[in-house]
Parts: sequence; structure tokens; C-alpha cells
Amino acid sequence: MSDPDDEFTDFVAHRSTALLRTAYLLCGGDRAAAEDLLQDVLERAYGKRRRVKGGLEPYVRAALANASANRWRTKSRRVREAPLDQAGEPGVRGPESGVLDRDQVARALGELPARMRAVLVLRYFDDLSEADTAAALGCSTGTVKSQTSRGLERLRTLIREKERT
Amino acid sequence: MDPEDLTRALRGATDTLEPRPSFTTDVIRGGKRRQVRHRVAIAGGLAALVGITGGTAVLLSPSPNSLPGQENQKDLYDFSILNGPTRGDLAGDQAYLAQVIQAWQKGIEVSPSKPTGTNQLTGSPKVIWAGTTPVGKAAIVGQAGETKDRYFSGDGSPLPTMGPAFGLVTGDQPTLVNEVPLFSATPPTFLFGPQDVMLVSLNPKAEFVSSWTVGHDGKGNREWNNLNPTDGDPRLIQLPNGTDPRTVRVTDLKGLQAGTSWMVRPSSTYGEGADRQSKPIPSRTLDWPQQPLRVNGAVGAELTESHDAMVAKGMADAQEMAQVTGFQAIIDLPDGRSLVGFEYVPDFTGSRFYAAITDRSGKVESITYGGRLNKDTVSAKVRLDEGWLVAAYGATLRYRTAPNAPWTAAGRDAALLPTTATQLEVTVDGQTPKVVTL
Repeated sequence: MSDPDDEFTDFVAHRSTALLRTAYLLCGGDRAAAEDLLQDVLERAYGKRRRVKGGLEPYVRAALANASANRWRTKSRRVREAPLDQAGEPGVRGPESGVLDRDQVARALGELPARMRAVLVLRYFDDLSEADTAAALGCSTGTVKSQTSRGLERLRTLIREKERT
Repeated sequence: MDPEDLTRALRGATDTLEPRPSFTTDVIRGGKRRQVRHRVAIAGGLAALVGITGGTAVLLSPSPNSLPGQENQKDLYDFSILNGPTRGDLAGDQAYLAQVIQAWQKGIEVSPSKPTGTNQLTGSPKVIWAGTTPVGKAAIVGQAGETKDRYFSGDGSPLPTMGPAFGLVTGDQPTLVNEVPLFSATPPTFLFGPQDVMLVSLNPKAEFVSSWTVGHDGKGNREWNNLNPTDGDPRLIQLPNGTDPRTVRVTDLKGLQAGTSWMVRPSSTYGEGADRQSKPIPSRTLDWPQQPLRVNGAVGAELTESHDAMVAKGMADAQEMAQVTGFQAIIDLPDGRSLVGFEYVPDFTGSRFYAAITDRSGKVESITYGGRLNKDTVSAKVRLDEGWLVAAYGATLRYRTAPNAPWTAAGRDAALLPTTATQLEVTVDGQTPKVVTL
């Protein structure tokens, strides 16, 4: 039988980049908060690594989404770790985005309610199905559908407003 | 924007993100530390969540004069101190009070804890206490705030949307020097002044204060001193010189058990940009890996539950907020028990070495203190009835029993040497051997 310690270390080493990107979006584009969130979730998962059923990655993604939704309790306690000289750095328009500024969309995501943001990130960044998203967030598929629809609409509105300003 | 646009944009927004190089190591280290035991601070806003979710509760008395709209939250947050008169000998100094309010408003604007987005301060700030202390003028400000988000506890009941925030203002030119952000269930206790020597507490239950010190014998001490509370007034006390503010706790002492005191907030670490709500966590002074060193394939259990035994021996602080452990070396004994040499950080002065004897189930039978460890430590060592337990990560070990006696090989990383051993030779590959006197 393989050693759960080795498996977990391997998992973190190989999947932390992808998970950090999910965390970054869940934190509305706050890099430091995303690293904090991911590290916190992974450290907690370490203690449960032998008991996790259905794979570590779905478990950690669900934990990230749920922890980010409760982040309001702690985020105001954190010292922002981003260097000041990066504050207000203009967004970089990536060739792949075409119409959306990459930072703009992350910031707009950050203005959505946490649950709505989590639904959009799990559905459109992590490519989870409605059923898997519902299972991860502990809600019904109907809620996922309605949150997706409303979330997309609000995101469009937010981005239009930002473009105007 | 259609869903495909969104997917492309999200990918574009993240495609250059990579974790820091040490991330995996940091996670594993943190996970192990939590697994050994992670004691949650029951101070501040965290206490609210803990209390609701079934952990240790810190509930304040219902307030008879809660602010409008707060009736259903009054057993969690006490707003009465925001409504009462300003206390302290400077309560009548209106010019000073105005300066304090200005300092709060100015400070909170640039604070990393400034409520933003759906979290906002509401109403007007209130100077709860303003007084003259041996280190100058000081004042505590409070203000209510709210969140527009709705959150629910594990049992489905709604979490409060309103809560208080507090700030400490000091100096002749009043400046906000510390704060407790929104949703603090426990009125704050601050330290301030040179070396954080002054303690002021609004916590009505705080009756005793202590700090933690560890002696040369590895035994620690936490002596509780009375705060001499006076009804309605903040507790104000000057701590003895040399007190480490990171170990100061207050308590009601009535139900004092491990981890049930309230943490205080040193203003010096706030000034250094620390996360003022987080637990100050001691640092290791040794960089040996945390993966257990199993001598000759030892099968003894990794030490995970030593803390209670350490507390019982007076070697660990029952009120510490985080337990920091380091390397372990496991040696199986002939009688089926195991000997575990381990690193532990019992205070803020660095790592120390201990040896535990564990039974077949991993239960700790005894613990012996072996001294300090630092980055220059050649070998950790401790004398036991069974012999000398020595450990030196990545090194080849030899010992001898007299100055001119021949060296005897003792393997790598760690060993149990005879009690007659007098010298240990430690050789890290490619380096000159070093001799340690036992």
C-alpha cells in the first residue's frame, strides 16, 4: 500500500499550481489571500488525507470554495501582503482574452457574493458539471443554475460599468 | 460575454500564477503541526464562530441596552460599552477625546483591516475609555459595523450581521496603534508602550494575567496575577520588565483549562505589520527535516500526542496558541517500547530537545528534557537511564568511552549510545568531523 504521506506530498507538488489559480479567482484576484487560503485548506486536508473519499482534488476544490465563502470572517484580519508597488498595477491584456481584461474579470468576480463567485469559478474555470458544483457547495442543482444565470448577468453588468469608468 | 468568453478570461487571468517554491514544504510542515495539535485562539472574532459551531464558547452577557436592530444578536456581541459613558481620568478632556476620534478615523482609513465591500462601519465611533498611564495617554475607541453578506452556522441559524470593532489610540499626538477588526465577540485586551509593558483590558471577565517563561531545566512557569478589576473600569496594569508580550494571557481563572485563556494583542507586533488577529507562533531554530528519522528501520509510532504529557511535566504551556514541533528520531527498544527524540518550541526563544519513551501503542510514558537547539547545533543529546540519545541529521556517528579509546560506529542520523559514552563524533558527508562532549 502506498504511503498517504508520499501521496499527499505528491498531490500538493503537482496540483498546487492549478489549485492556486482556482483560489485566486475565489479570492477575487487577491494573490496573497489565495495563497493563504490554499495553504490553510491543504494543511487541514493533510490531517484528513487517509479518510478522504472520492479523491483529494475534488475534496480540496470543494473545501476551497466553501472556505472562500466564509472568508469574510478572516479577510479583514489579514495584512495585505502584496507589495505596495504592485498596487493599482494596470491590467495586462492577454492575447487569449480577446475582449476581457484579465485583471478586470478577476476584480469583477471579487465583487460578486462569495457563493455566486464560487459557482462561476467551479463551473467555468474548473469545468465542473452543475451536479458536481452542487455537491461541492452543498446546494441543489437548481441553486447552481440560478446562481450561474444571475452571476453571469451581474458579471456582465460589473464589467460594463468598469469599462465605462 | 458568453460562458466561453468567461472561461477564456478566467484562464487568462490566472495563467501566470505559480505557488512560491517552498509552498509544498510549507503545507506539509503546517499540516503536521496541525495534526499534532492545533489549538484555536478563542479571542476576538474567531471566538464568535467557534462559539456558534460548538467549540469553546465565549459568550458575553446580554446587554440591556443593545442598539436598535441588534436584539437577536445580543447574546453574541455586547454593544453596551459603545453606549455607556466614557471612562477614565481623561473622560472630561473633550479636546483629547476629539483627537482620539480623529486618530481612529484616520488610522482605520489606512488600516489593512479597514472594512470594505460588504463590510462597513456604521454609526459613530465612541471613546470607551481614555486615561493617563505610566507610559502616557491612551484611549480605546469602539464602533459598530455590519456586513451585507448573509452567513449561516452549521445548524442553519443565521450568523449576526452586526458586530463591534475596537482600536487603541496612544500618545500625546494621538495615533491608532492597534485594533480589533469587526465581529470581535470579546472586548479587547491590548498591550502597549515600551516593550508592550502596559496592559489594558475591556474584557469584563479578565481577572488574572500571566506570561510564560521557561527555565534552564526546561520547566516553564505561568504565574497568574490579579488584575484587581473594578466594576465598569478597564483593567490597567504594568507588566514586569522582561515579560514576553507574545505569551501574555488573561483569564477569569474560574474555568481555566488548557487553551481557555484570552489572548492579548501586543501593539509592537502591530507596528511591525503583523497580522494582529493571528496567533503569534514561535519559530524553530533548527532546520532539520520534520520527516521522522527511523533508526535501523524503527517501527515505533511517530509522536503526535505528547502535549498533555509535556504540560503535566511543566515543559509546555497549557495556554499556548500553537504547538510548534520539529524533527523526530525514533529508536525501537528491545522491550517493544520506543524512544523518540524530538524538537519542540515551548516559547519564543527557540527550539529545544526532548526524549519520550512510548509504549507499543504510542502512548507517552515519560519525557526528559535535553537542552536548547539552534542552527549551529552539531548534535542533539539527552542523557537517559537507557543511555545517551543523540541525533544529528544527515551525519555519520561514532562514539567512544574515554579520550584515547577507539571510536565505535553508531550509524547515521540518531543513536542510543551506552551511558559510558563520553564523546560523540559527528561527520556530515564531505565535511570535517566534529567531536561533541557528552
